[in-house]
Amino acid sequence: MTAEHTTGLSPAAEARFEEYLTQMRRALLGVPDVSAAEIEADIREHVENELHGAARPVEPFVLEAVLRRLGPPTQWLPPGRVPVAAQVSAGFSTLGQYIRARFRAARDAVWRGPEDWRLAYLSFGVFAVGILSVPFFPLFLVISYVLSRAGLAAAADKGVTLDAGRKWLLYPPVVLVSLALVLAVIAAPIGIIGVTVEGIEGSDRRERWDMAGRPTVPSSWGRPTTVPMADREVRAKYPEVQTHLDRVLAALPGPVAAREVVAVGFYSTGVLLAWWALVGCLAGACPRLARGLVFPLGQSFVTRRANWVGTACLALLAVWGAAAYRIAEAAGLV
Amino acid sequence: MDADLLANWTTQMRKGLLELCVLMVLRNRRMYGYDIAKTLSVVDGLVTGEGTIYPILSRFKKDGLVETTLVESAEGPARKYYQLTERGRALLTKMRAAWAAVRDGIEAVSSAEQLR
Repeated sequence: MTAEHTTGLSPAAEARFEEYLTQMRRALLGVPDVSAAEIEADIREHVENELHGAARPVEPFVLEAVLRRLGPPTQWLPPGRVPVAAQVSAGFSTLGQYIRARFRAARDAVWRGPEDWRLAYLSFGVFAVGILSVPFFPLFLVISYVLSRAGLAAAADKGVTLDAGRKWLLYPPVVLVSLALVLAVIAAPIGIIGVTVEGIEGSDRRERWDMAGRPTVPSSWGRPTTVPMADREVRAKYPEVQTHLDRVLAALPGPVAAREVVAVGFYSTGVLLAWWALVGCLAGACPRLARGLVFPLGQSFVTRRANWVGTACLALLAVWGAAAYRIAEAAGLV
Repeated sequence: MDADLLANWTTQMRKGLLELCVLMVLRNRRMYGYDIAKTLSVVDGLVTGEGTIYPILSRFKKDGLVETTLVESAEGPARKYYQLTERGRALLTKMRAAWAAVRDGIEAVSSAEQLR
């Protein structure tokens, strides 16, 4: 059904009817139980029937009587439903009240204490200011982290179990710093591997160049000067030169082309094992310190698994060390 | 306070009974939505507004309790007729039995109170 079925309404009556239908559609907004379009069609049919014998054009007061018998548009909601507009309005009102109440509570806590609440609000305030002043965020993060840790310690001293509200105040800087520490612990060996592999390659290039008699080539800049020969050319021109790295690669198993990859993998394994053995043993030896640094992440892991990780990595490192010694021996380095 | 309680109680009672009545008027025949509204609006205290039945019919249709048929009308546009489905008929039987049990129970309590 569409508007043309409700024929014979005066412009004022038509406008009133459209207003009624708009209110009905608004009331049914977001209600999945019923079809607003179907109800609108039913209402149009109903009004059409009611006005069947009425004089044309139908005046607003005649239509009003029909609409009054139909009932207010809000009645179209299923039982127990509240219109979305009313829900949104109530939601904003409640949110406003909540924010005002929290602000008053924060002000009272900062001025009057208790200490654990004061620290919680101060920490959150500093953290929020840090977010708003982006360039200085690291500084504010450190301050709010210290305040949070103090707040956590104060709460622990009082034997208070943190509720969700207090966690939201205290945890953001702590979680952020802890997360950064955990990521640093995970990323550090990867960085070490990258830097040392790069260093070994550079050292190998210099050693090869030295052993080849420091060959030079004319500079491509066109000036009457020379520059050191590129590593690729040195390798091609002086194949008899064998560096320490060449001897290590020759001692490795597998096809020649894949030996560099094998060497990097073997070296990376050793670095990772040494790193996690160190981290595991340190965390196992000082669990309170480790838990404090990564609080509230990985608390049970530090307590239960740190020693296990440290010991397992040490054992594997011993095996790796033995294999490394055999390779060094085969390469004539020891 | 009492007026609010009464209004709330009446509303709750009316909602359930109106749904039962809508199904009951469709028990033996298909009906045009307007006719259902007019039939039920004469029952005193059952319908606050004639339009109250339309969301119920829409919900019943979504729930598969009624189905609709468009029938051409000499008096105007095609009319939408509502009729019970098998599911609606089965639910009506159960609702009537439940209503009869409640009604008889209330009668029994009321009679016992009068005899005391």
